[in-house]
Amino acid sequence: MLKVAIKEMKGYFRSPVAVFMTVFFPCLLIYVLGTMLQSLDISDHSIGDIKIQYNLSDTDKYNAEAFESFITGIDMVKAEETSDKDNALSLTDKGEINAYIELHGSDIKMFTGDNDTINRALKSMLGSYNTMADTYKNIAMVNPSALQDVISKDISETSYVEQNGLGVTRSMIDYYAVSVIVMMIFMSGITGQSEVFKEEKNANTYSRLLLTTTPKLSVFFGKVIGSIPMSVITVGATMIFAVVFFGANYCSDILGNVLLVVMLLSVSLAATALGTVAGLVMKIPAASVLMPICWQMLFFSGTFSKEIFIEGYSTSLPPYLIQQAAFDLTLFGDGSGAIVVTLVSLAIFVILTIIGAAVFAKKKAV
Amino acid sequence: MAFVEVKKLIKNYGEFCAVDNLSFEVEEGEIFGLIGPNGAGKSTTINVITTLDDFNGGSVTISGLDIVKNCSQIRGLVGVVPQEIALYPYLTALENVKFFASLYGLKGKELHESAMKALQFTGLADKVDMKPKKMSGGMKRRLNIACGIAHHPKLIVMDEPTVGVDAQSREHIMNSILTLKEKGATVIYTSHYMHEVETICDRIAIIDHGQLVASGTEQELVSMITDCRTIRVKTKWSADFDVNKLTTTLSALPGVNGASVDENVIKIDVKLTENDFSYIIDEIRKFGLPLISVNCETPDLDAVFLALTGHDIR
Repeated sequence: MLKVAIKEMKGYFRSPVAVFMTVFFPCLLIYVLGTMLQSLDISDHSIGDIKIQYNLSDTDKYNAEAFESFITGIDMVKAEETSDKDNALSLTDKGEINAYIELHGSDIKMFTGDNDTINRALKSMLGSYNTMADTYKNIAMVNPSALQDVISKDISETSYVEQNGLGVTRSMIDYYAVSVIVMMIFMSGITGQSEVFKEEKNANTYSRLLLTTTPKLSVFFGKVIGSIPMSVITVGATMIFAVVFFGANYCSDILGNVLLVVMLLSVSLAATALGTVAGLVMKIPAASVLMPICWQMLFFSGTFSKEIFIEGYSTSLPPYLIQQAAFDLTLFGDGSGAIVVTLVSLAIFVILTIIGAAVFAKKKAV
Repeated sequence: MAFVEVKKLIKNYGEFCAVDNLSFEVEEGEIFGLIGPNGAGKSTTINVITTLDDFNGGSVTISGLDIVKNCSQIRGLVGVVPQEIALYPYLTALENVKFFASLYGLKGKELHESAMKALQFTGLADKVDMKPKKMSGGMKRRLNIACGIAHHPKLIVMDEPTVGVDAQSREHIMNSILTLKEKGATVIYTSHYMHEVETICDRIAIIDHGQLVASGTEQELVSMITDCRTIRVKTKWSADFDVNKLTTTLSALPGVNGASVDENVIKIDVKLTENDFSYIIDEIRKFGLPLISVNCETPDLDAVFLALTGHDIR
């Protein structure tokens, strides 16, 4: 088993394509997304003033003050408080104001007009307000003394891109770094691993492997174990690259970072096991089926749109859940989601590996 | 008891019968040729013998061991050189050989020495650090063989090991196989090249449509289609030369079935068992005729195959 695993590792480290795809490609993506796209986080054209009316009659004093100070602090927003909802809605319909917003406790309800660009900008602002409000609440709960530092800093226009949380200055690279790793796990982990036995067949070594006195299961587990360093390197290299070259921040403490790495590795193992089984079961090239599925899952999870403007199609898809757990851990220091994802991933890995071994044991060599 | 015994082997793929009641035996230490056209059932038979594939009927024993009941033991006895180049392009020659040999349980010093010996044997001792992708076709073929023999198998199954190689490498491979035989290995050899089979195989089995058409030594196979070989002597004679006397004299010689002339060529049919024709040539000389050329035509395996199966091997 170990001999097969070592051979697999040699194959990985000596393959420029494999090393590029699992190490350099994710780093390149971070570079592209983290550097080039970050400079594109500006509007394409000026949308001018945004006229809104808001109603704070159904919220408490603190939420009202927080919201009011937020919304009136944005130059482009011309906000006016009102208690006449019907009139505000009518004005919104006529296009005389762009939106009517009312607060119910900490919940925000917004009625918008038909200007999509302004609607999106408002939605982004309110999203940012919600995130900040959550952050303040978390800081207040976790580290109240840090609250003073955060409050004392001015909120500039770049704060839509950079957020302050848990005493760490956040930028989009923090999101991109996690998103790219998740993408690589799905793309490279699942689709790449689905090809491992096919590669043996292409090299005509599959039959030769099975003709030896080494048991079939040893060959199978050797192939699975041999793929683990690839996962470790992909996750590790991407994280280190993002930190060293782009100053990405993950968790504020070592334990959180260890949990993040463990979670991503567990997900990676589950993905490779899934790829292995799919490659064994499918008669057609598994990658041709898995690749589009993975892309669609990533797209509908809102993988690269998270925390920007566009929401994902579903919040129940694995890429979304994994990223959500990672962001909860890195941004808010909440590791409960990461622990659940880790345990579920490890369970999936074990179950799929057993299924894969059973399938492989029954599979004919010719 | 024969080293390999294949008895009434049947292998079906759905409705299609790939091997149909095939039986043959391979003695220990011999090179046994398996010839037949594409789709004849050679590879299927080899896949069964090497335990790569199962079968629907009959039995196969190697060294007295049933291949179904003793699969793991059988695998340790058998070395396979597949028709395709089955190597890892990213491993060096030595790493390739060591990897496959290690899967047969070899380790440590024994593993290294066995791998080196296999590479020396195939003439690749100076290419240990070279990766297959940088090797010529012939070198890859030789490395393919080294990977199949490094664990010292008693039975070596070679499936068309010389496909697409240059003459020099083919020569090297042929000599290597003969050396393996000298060292006591039993070899089952398949090839499309009849000349190779004629040159190195002690016995040959002809397979067609999954069935055994004939088996035996080359001479035994040839004798199935004819009992003679033809000697053609080109000479020159004058108009008053007594041709009848020449043909009558030659026909009366021992081992000669008959003689005839066609223009200036004397055609003599000689029994297959006769290997020394010098007395026939001496007799022609007695007539004072010059010898311009002498050709001996013996039916080859191609002719045997054609006669027995009704079609060409390719």
